[in-house]
Amino acid sequence: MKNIIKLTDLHKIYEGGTHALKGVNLEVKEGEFLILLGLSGSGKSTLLRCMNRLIEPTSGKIEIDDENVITAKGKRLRKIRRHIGMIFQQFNLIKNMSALTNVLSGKLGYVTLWHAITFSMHKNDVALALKNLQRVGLEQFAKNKARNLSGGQQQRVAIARALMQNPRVIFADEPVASLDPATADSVMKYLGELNKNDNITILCSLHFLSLARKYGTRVVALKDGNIVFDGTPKEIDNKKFKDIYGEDAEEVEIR
Amino acid sequence: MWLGGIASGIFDPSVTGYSLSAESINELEKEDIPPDVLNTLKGIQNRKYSTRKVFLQDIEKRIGKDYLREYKTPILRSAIRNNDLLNIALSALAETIFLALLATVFAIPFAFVLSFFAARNLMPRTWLGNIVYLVIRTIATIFRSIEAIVWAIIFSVWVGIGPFAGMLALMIHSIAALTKLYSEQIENIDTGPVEAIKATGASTLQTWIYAVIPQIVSPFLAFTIYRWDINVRMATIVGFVGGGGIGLLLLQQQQLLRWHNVGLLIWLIAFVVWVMDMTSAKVREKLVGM
Ligand SMILES: Nc1ncnc2c1ncn2[C@@H]1O[C@H](COP(=O)(O)OP(=O)(O)OP(=O)(O)O)[C@@H](O)[C@H]1O
Ligand SMILES: [Mg+2]
Repeated sequence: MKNIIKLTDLHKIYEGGTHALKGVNLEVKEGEFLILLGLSGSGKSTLLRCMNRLIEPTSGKIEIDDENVITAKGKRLRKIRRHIGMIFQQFNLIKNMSALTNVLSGKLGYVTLWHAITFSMHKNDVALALKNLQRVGLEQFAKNKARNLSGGQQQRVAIARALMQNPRVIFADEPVASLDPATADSVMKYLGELNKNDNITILCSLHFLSLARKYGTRVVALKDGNIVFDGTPKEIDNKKFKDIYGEDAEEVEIR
Repeated sequence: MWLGGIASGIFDPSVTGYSLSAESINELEKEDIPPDVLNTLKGIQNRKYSTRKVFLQDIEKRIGKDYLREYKTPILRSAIRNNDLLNIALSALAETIFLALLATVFAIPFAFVLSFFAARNLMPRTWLGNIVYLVIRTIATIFRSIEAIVWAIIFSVWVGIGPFAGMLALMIHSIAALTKLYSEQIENIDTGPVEAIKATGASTLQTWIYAVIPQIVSPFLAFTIYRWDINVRMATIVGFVGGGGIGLLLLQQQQLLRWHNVGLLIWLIAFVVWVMDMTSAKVREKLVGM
């Protein structure tokens, strides 16, 4: 399998002086379900946001799908972004719009401004959005305002929005951190399905090792902006766990 | 004197005043009365109104009490019975409310567009972004700190006295005030959806339309209604310097010393302001609680 993501010596220093990424090198193969682990503040969100330039990296090289992300500007950056779905801990839906409109917004990278304003008149787009809502089991909620959906449902709408982008990669930044364990597992299941059936590469930061073991094909752990572990979920034994989370940490299991 | 006149106009259920009969005017004309005094007396007679004693004491000394008839008038009732004034007052009031509405409506598109460029979180931190942000913010602050009444004076010199000058004055003031309120609202939005929409590959304008505007429509509406409410009050004041509407009528009546009418007008203004204040508060509550 070919590399879909290649990071070379990636640094991020925030304005305040925080050195959040200290030279990250990473290659991700197409079809991987990569779990990012690390303590709070280790740089997981920073890494994911640098990769689609929601945050400007300070130095280094980013290649996604053979595109140089760092040098991309304007239209080219938009073209790169539209193949990268992004899922957030806080769902980040437009709360007073319908689930359907939220899903349609995933298509924005492909359309003109006028097309975007008149989305509901484009039958193909609406049909595709409904199909994507159906994939996450929410077609009957299409007309509901996002704010009236439960957390798990909102995250599934966000997944449908990402699907609308026809993504090659999905970045998920703690997608289940605000959900209860059962709902968390069901949301992860949808991501797992996309990974297997649609061959979408997934990079997902998590705080739960159990979910990492269940869904991940590979685990990368960050500590203070450096990669301190890179391997399969099975390889994380007690010693590795303490390397990642510190000497005093104990593994808490959720099922 | 001024305040006393207004106070009696508002609070006195009836005032004692003087009036003249038509015959006594004719007789006075034969006598050696200074023309300005005669004119004042004629004016009082024509208006079929009684006038406050204080204004006639001087005249009384010159022409003697015989010519003046003293009687009591219940001010509000007599003023309301005087349909002419009520009609004029109501149409002037409508003019003021429309003037305020027009000023608000015309200010909206300007303020709406400007507020995006005056929102710190939307403007990139490049030198161009910083300059645009700073220039708009500074001008808005300066224009807002100049009272609407000063703008009215400026515009009445420019386009002539009347409702148009009043409207322009309120409009300029409203654009500045709304730009500030709107842009602060934009700065307070949840940045999550903006990030999410940006990540789909949307353009800047698409991001504003999809992630920013849906978050701000209801607070914008609330602010706009509040602004209209303020503008009605300001329009009254602006009328004083020639902005038209009920303010101008109030000024005229005050200069003619018709305190009863002044009282009626103040009642009318107070009532309208109260009603607008109540309704706008209700609507705002609904919108923001949405
Ligand atoms: N906008 C910012 N400005 C300045 N410093 C920041 C900013 N965002 C993050 N940081 C700092 O960068 C470091 C890495 O933060 P980051 O959010 O990437 O961590 P994380 O691994 O995602 O943590 P969490 O698990 O809490 O989400 C932290 O020290 C944080 O304080
Ligand atoms: Mg984070």
